[in-house]
Amino acid sequence: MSTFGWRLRGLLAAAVVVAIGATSAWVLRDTTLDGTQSATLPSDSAAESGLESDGDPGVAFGGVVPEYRSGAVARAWFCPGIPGRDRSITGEIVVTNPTENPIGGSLTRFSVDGTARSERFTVAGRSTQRLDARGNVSSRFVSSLVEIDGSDAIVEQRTFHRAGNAVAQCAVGPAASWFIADGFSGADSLFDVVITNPALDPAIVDVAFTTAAGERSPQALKGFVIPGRSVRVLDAGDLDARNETILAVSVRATVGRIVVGRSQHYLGRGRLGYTMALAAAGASSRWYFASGEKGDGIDEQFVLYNPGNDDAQVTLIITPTSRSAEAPDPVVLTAPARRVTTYSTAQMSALKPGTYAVIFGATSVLGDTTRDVVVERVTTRRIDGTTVTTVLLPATRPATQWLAPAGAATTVDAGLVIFNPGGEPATVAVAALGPAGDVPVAGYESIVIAPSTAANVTLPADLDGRALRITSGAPVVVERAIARGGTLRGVAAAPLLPVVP
Amino acid sequence: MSDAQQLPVGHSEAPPVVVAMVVHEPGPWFGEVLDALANQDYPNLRHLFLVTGTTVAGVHDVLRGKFPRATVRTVEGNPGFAPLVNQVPALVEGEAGFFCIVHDDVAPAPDAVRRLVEEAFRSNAAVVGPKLVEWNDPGVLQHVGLLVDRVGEVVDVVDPGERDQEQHDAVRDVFAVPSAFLLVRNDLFRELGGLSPSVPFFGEDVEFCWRVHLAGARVIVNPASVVRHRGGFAQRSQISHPEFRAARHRLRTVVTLTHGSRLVRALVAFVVVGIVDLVVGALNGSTRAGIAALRAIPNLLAEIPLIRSRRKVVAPMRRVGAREIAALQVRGSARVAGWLRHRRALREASTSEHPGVAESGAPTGDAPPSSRAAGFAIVAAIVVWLVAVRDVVLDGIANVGRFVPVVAPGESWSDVVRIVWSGWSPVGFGDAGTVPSWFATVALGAGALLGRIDAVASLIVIASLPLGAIGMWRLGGIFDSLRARTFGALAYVALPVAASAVAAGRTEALVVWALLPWIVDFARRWSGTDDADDGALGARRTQLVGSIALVGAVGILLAPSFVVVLVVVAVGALASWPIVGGAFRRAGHPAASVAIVVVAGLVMHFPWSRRFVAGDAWSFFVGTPSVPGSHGFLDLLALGTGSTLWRWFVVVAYAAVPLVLATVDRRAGEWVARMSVVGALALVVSALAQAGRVPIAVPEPLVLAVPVALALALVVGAAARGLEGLRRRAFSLGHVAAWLAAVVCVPLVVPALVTAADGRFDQPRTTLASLLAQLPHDPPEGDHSVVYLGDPRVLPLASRRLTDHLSFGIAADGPLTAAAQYLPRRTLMDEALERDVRALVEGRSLRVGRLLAPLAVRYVVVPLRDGITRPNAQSQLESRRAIDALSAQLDFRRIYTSTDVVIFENSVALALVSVLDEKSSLASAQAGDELLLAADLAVTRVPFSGMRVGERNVGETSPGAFHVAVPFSDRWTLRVDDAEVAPRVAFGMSTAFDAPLAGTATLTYDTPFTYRAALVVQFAVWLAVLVACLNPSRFRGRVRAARILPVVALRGDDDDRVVL
Repeated sequence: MSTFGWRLRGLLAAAVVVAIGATSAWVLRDTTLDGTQSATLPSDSAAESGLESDGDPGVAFGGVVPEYRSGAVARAWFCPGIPGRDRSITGEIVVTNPTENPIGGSLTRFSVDGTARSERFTVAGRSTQRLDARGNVSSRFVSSLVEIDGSDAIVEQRTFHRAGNAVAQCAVGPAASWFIADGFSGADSLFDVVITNPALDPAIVDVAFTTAAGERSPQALKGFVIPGRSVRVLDAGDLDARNETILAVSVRATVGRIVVGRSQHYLGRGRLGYTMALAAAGASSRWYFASGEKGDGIDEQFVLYNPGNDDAQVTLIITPTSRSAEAPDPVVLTAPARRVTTYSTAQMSALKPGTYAVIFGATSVLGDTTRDVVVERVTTRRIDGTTVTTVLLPATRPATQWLAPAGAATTVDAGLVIFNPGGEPATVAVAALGPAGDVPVAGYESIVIAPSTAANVTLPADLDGRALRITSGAPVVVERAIARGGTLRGVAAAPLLPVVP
Repeated sequence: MSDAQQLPVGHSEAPPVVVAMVVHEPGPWFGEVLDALANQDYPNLRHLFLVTGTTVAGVHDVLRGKFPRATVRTVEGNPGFAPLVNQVPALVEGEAGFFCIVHDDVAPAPDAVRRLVEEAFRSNAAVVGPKLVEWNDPGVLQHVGLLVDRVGEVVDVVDPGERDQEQHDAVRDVFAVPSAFLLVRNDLFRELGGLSPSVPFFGEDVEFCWRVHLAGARVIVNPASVVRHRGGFAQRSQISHPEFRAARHRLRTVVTLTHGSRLVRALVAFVVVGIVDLVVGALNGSTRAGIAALRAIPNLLAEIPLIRSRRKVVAPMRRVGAREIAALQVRGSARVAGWLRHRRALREASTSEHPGVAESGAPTGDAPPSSRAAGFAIVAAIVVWLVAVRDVVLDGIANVGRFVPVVAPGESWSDVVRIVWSGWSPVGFGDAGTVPSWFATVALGAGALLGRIDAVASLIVIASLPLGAIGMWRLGGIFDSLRARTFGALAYVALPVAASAVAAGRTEALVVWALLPWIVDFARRWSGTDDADDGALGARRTQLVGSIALVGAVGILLAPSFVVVLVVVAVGALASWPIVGGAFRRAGHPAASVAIVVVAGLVMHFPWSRRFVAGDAWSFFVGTPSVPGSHGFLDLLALGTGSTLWRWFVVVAYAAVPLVLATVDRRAGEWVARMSVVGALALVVSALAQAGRVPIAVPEPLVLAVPVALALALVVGAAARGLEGLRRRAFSLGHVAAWLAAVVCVPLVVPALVTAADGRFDQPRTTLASLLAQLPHDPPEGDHSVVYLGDPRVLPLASRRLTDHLSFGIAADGPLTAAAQYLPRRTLMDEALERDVRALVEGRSLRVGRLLAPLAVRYVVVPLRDGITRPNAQSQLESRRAIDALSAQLDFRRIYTSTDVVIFENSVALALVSVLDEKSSLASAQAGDELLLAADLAVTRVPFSGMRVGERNVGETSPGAFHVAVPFSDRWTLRVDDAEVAPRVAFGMSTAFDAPLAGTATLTYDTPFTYRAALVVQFAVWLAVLVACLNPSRFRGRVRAARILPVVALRGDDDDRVVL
């Protein structure tokens, strides 16, 4: 090869090497020059508080939002607990096995004194097993851990209270942060925050609460220790928040993971009744209510709790479920940081009496990013001179399948309310769990729900207490009514369990 | 000298002197030589000419014409000077008088022989030598006798280029005189057997004179006898590497003739002087003498039989004590003395009237100034290296990253031997028959470390640095310039790959860095140096292929990702062929080298190599995988350094690449361009991996940075070579490019020096290992395993990938050891572990503790950082989520939390060896995660802890399933008292024995004979490859040549003899 020929080749080699180097730079063009700075790590506080959101509410909730995820190796359900000292109050753990085969599991009851007791149980195929939530445990509150051998059973907790029965969902795991948007201790109403630490290690939590006067963090509740495998209960007195009509609570575990429930016995100041529910295991930027109602004798209030450090702008989109009704303009609210904001549909003149669905969306004040808040609906109805208050923590996303192990109220107009928030019609089937499989509910084998409308399902009496499955061709949101039990009038609201693919 | 002392001319009583000349292809000066001989005034002079067969026939006529009465015999071929001279006694009848051994390039003064004879009588000397002066300038002294030290090094009495001012004209005893012209007594020459046949040239005179001294005779020099000497035998004979032959002959002489009582001392001195020569020579720009001396030592092993026989021959001649002989020799080093004298001569060169003083001096004076600069650079590099590793040498390497001890504290090399011999691999949960060859290597090499097996990690670090530099220096042979190859090697060291690898404890990167230049160099040598060269053939090719195999096998041993890097090099080299051109074999031989390495790995590492062909072989060879998004383009260019200053120096140095490629000449440029393409390919692979666009895992960026560094170092070498030629060429673009390239590369040295000054490469003082020391080792509650989960770059052990940012690895209890540095073969237990860890991080169960229980996983460690490696945001997030998942587990306790590491304890884990209760025993007969999740396994007894495979493990047992958390193998045997219990599969993966009774349990592993046979074969294969690398044909040839007395076949009339 001549010198000239080699020079050409040398230049070619130089060009190729430079081109390859440039290609490398182009490949990494989306990163900064220094890769260590190319991604943004959520702040420690955000990560620890569980407030970080990557658009997946399940993740935002730390993976413990009550839902049924297929593919789990095994499923554990953490039920918030029932009062354990009052013999008039009982509870049950409803375990539904929708499969053909029997499923085994264990039920562990946690008590305040730290004695956790386990027992094995079996649920026959396509049947529901009801287990005593309290057993022989004597404790102020008894919470439960239900572990299923396999992943196919679903669990709820039911509380039988003289002021009204309640169905509470069970978390699928402990979490670091829990929020209660609506607490109430007015007229000496009984408000209990039930904290369960199912792990072996002690958990250390910081408890803060927000009243109309602002947020408070009692020193006694900072670094509050929850011993392993035990329950601790904080009432309004412990919080130094007696007689508060606005009372939001945040429980953050700095060490360990916990489960938090709320037991609420309303005794006056416009509220009566009993609720027992799981707290929100995190906040979300979206909340879906399938049913709402404005009318005489109905006081409906949405309680927004912004546990973050930045103010949020919350938009309420109210969608009348009757096609003929006109949708009012969206309402925009400002939810100050670490404050509770309430909004009553009664003050919305543009909203005509009737039923509707409500969607909440939270953003920053500038509207450029999402913000996570907690929303609950407090509905107080006067029925034949009786006041019934019910509180609902709504769904954070629509789903194509919903489960209700404890069933829903029968022979009422809206045992189930199914809302289609999407833009396409949804074909929905309602079925009950039977010994031979799912049994379609007559009249609801295949109903079409138009976009932005809802359908009410009236369940026949023979489905009382039967597990239900709602299947839809498009994502929908479902709520249910729960019979209050005994001679009590009215119904209570309860969420269902979404199925996540 | 008075006239009375002179023998009268024509005196009939003058003893006969036979002038014996070996004539070998003489040059035009030969007529002058013969004239000088013919003009000798000695009255009783005979002439004997021994003409080699390669000499032109006309020489005979010349000799006959000049010396009609001379004996002229022709010899078949050229058996060498000494064998020819040794024919003289046979061709001379009678033992009277003297022999005058003469080269064919000397011109004695007319009275030279006479004066030697006179002095022989006067001094009663056996050997007398003349004053040798320069052929072209008789006023300059060449030799006036030779002084020799105790290691056979020769130093002249005169300085190089010293003018003759009669300052050396006194007759004196010397240790030796050059064989160019020496007078020796006939009878003594016969008695001593002539010159040594084992030293045919280069040192034959010293060897002979040494024996003369042993025989009690005198060797003197008579400067009154003057002989002009042309010299230059090495150049005339075209002998390759004359200095190496001279060194071998010298050592052979020393070992043969030194008295037994001083032999060891002499050998040690030989080594020490060789090293000193190397260092001093490096300062002076020539390391050949030192290298030659050191290279001669291993050659000695092959010559032991020869030397023994020679010593037997010499033994009867020893009439003088060792002390007296030593007294005749120079104390200290003759080479050092010669060097000092040479320096003095150089200083005086300006006043010397002889123009060639500097050039005609000692061999070290041949070095040009550039070589001297290179020599200083080498010495400086050695000093910097010593400074850089000082703390590593004194305190040992810090257990950072993947730098871990071979065995746990309290264990010794005998434990390593036990592991190797047992055949049960300690890697992961254990495996039958796949013990990494590393343990066998350590077991065999422990003796070399004087039992300091704990020093292996430090040794790897300390040795890797010079190893990589030497490899690069060898590869720099493409430049044909000492300065270029030296600066190329220095650049390779100065680039931050090695320092970053040591700082972060990246064994793989360090080993690849140290070995890659060697492989490339072997491939280069194999393929030939230019188009006209067909490459290495025969024994040389075998040697190179063996070397590639050996280096490749060692690479796999220490860094399996070496294979992946070689693949990148091979692909890059092939891809470069259309661009660079040249013979295809030079681009193809790197690819062939990969094939050799793969085959060598499979063969030389068998039975461990069964692991190489397992389903997850790629993961095994990738090692620590690249984590997408962890490095930006600047990081990749910076070759691993996090130093702000250093990284910019490195990045700027890339500017030299196009400059050099565009201007370098073809001879060196072909390989520079080829490796530049390879480096660019490695860079783009790394970039694609960082961008998440490579469908398979690739090694971490620091490993892939090695080819880039190698290419850059070659570019630096090419730039240095370009600078070297500046003075000889007219100004051109190449000048500008060379200067610019040099300017951008020089700053690389600064941060390298700063790092070296630290003494331990900026390794963190607090390491992850120190935090993990809290984990118990062989605790009384039973042995167990530890799972490490986190960013693969932070994990201090070999790991499997869960996600791009999350990996996990398994290790035995206690501190991490070498066993954890190898990815285990995927057994059912490993599959279960992966399934369980995946379920853990995906939050699919809160009872993962129960799933891990039969695997004896007691601890889960989540390292977050190790003081050097900072995981990127996504890695941190995923690690934090893993911690969240562990925190939510119902059977785990968090026992330690810090910013660096979080440790969880699995409260339901079984011990490695445990006896299960009845319910758990029944459960162990079944398999499946559902079973484990429902089962709350209970243990009734832990028979023993600190299980040692290869030994009898004894403990008390109770009825129940005797569970051993190792993959099932029917080679495990359990004896309860005298009853043997058959093993069975437990939980579908591990091993259990259903022991019906309580008693003393003995657990052993029965090693198959085939495994041990395979070990022996493996050892033999390694030996064979080592032998191939050493190219024994070289030694065989030498030994044969030294052993076999050359057959001297004389042609002509056998009656043509000299009769005295």
